[in-house]
Amino acid sequence: MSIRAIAERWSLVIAFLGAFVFFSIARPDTFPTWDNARAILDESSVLCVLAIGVTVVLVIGEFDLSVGFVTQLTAAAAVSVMAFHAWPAWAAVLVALLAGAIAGLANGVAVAYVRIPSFVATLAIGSIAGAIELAITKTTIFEGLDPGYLEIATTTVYDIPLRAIIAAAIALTFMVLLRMTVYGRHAASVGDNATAARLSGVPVERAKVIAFVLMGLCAGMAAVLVTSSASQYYPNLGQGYLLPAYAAAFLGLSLSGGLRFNVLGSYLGVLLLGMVTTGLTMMNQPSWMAALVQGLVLIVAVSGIAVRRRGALGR
Amino acid sequence: MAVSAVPWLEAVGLTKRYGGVVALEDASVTAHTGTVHGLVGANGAGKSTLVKCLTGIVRPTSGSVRVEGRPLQLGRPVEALRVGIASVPQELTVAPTLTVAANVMLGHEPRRRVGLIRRRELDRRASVALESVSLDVTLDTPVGQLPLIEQRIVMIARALSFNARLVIFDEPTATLSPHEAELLLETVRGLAHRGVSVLYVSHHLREIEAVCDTVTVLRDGRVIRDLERATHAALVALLAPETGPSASVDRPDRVAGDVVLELRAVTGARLQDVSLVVREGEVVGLAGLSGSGAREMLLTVCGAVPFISGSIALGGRRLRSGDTLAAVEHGIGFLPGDRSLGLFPTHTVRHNVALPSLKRYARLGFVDRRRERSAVEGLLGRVALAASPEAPVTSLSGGNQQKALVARWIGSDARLLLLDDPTAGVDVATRPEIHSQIRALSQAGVGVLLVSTDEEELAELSDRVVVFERGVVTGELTSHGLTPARVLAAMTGQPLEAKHTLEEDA
Repeated sequence: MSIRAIAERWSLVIAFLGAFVFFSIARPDTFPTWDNARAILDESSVLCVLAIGVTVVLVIGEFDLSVGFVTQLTAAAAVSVMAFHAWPAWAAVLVALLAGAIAGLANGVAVAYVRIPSFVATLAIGSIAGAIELAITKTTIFEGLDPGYLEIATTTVYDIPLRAIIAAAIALTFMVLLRMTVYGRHAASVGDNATAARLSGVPVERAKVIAFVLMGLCAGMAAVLVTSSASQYYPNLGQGYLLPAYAAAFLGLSLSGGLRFNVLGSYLGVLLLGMVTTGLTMMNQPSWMAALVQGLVLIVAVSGIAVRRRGALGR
Repeated sequence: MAVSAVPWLEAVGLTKRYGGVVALEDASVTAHTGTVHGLVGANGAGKSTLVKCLTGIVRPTSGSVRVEGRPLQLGRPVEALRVGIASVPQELTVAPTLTVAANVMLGHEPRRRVGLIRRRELDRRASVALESVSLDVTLDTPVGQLPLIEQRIVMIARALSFNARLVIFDEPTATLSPHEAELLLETVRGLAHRGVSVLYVSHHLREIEAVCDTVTVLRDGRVIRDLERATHAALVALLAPETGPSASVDRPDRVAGDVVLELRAVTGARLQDVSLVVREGEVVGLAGLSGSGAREMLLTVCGAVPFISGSIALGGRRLRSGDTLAAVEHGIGFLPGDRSLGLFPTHTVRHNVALPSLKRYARLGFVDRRRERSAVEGLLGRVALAASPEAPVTSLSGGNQQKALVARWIGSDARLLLLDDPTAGVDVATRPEIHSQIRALSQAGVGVLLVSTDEEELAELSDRVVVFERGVVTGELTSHGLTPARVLAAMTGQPLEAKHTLEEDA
């Protein structure tokens, strides 16, 4: 392999280390510290969980644009059962997951069986999810959550925030799911060549529905992580996650030689984005700078992949 | 038709090499004004390469082309179009929502200085072109609303709208019904009548006989014969020379097994009233040109294409129309002729080979990678493919990718294999290996439906050959005296009555 090829193959890792070294030199007192690492891991946990869900949907070759709305809807559902009905924390978490699964099922059925292009279907389902959310909450803020629920965000294990551990555990679970199970292999086949997958006996429609349901579960979990940390539900809390979640997944693509979306890559992609945001804030850069740099990083990473992908697929 | 002394186009000594592979060698061809010139040959004989050299898509390694005595700049599509060489592509490439006029003039619309389209001029030029193909349609009809044949003719008008003097047709009747094909041939004759010269590429030898004034026969990249007024029989003799009894392989007489597949009066988009039985261990060849229904049969049986009436039963169990999943679950394996329908390009050889049988290597939903890997290694050995299971499948050559796909179905529990051109793009050395694998499978009791554009392959592997033409079964050749020449004659439209004559000749 040429140096160039190696550089491209490991571009995500190189960018990751590069960003770490850069910010560590720029802010040696605050950036390379355990406190900062812990903060980044904790704050990235929501995006991590969403990016993992997005990865599964990308693996089967579809898009889910309802991510933010579904997160909001599930947050509203979980918080309202605690605020209005005094349900315990564990029940609220189950409600969030269930609501996410239902939204995911709706997406999956619309895409796989009704055969609406996922771009349109998930936009529509997202809009409906947003409407239901507002019907529940009437754009108010809910507080007064179960103390046990708030502990999700405050607990640490060996000084590691529980939210970061949850995100890592989900990442690990999905890594195993995609790499080692029959479902994972089926999902990857569907995304690569749906016709060939069908002709090889893969239940294409079912695989798609499962992927969207998994995405919905991730959105429900992300909602729990957001609301437990904010100790409230507030309108539009899911805004701003869609783009970075996809950005992270596309950054992670480089880890597989640009061929396949993968959980580890998405996870590292999220941490890279988190590091850049935090580092730029520490350097007193204006807040738009982070968005600018994230956009540029994404363009550079994905353009290299696009070239190689064409080569590999002979297109 | 009087043939003028100086040809409109004269190509001399065209040679095209791709690396060490010779696609075309020292080929010469001429096209006279007002005549139809045929180009025939087996797949890979060099027809397409020759056509591409003329239209400028491919720059020949050596050789020259003269148009009206002046040398043509080679490898320049724009230049070829400018002097009047136009081609009607094999596939339909209309923009269905645009109007007839817009489609005819697509890409060279008459414009005003600011870039706006001159509508009236566009309509005028379009109607001139449509008139020369005698197509009577309203200019502002969306092309998608026309019947297929008229869409085809719109494309011919489009080719003519470039002031074409030579129009090249590549397999133009492939998807047409007999009546539509006749209309198209009529259009082709009409063009010649108007003084256009036509180059007509087709496997349908009967069409060649019907429409061509002169014919060039290609084999292995070389011109082997130029004929005037070629007959069907003469062309068959040139394309598949009778090589004596050795061409038909001796097949051990086997006891016919149980019925694996039974079709009763199946009618679908491209099939009409097809009934067929495949028994265990039997290789049934399906002969027919593209669009004949042979390939459509495979797609219908595996559920990729739905059928409207009739029934398909696999091992006694009825298959629902268009239910691929059930078809595969009940033991159908499909090896598509187009590898892009079979391969998972971003994955390893292991994944590509193991996918249909993955559940056998799995416990509780988890794949045992070691078992999977050793099974795949065994399968690769059986097809003599020396590649690592972990290699990306795209790192293999086309022939080796094909071997990997064959290995996929050897490893599955398929009871019925649907093979579509199993050795397409496979090198000479690999071909017998794949053939022996197919034989081994059939001896193990697997039923095989084989579609091939290669008459030798059909003759060699099949126990019997069913002949398709335009969606209908038109005949059956039984193992007794199954030779490449007979298969070719049958699939290129030998009238059925003549079949007997042919057998008497032999």
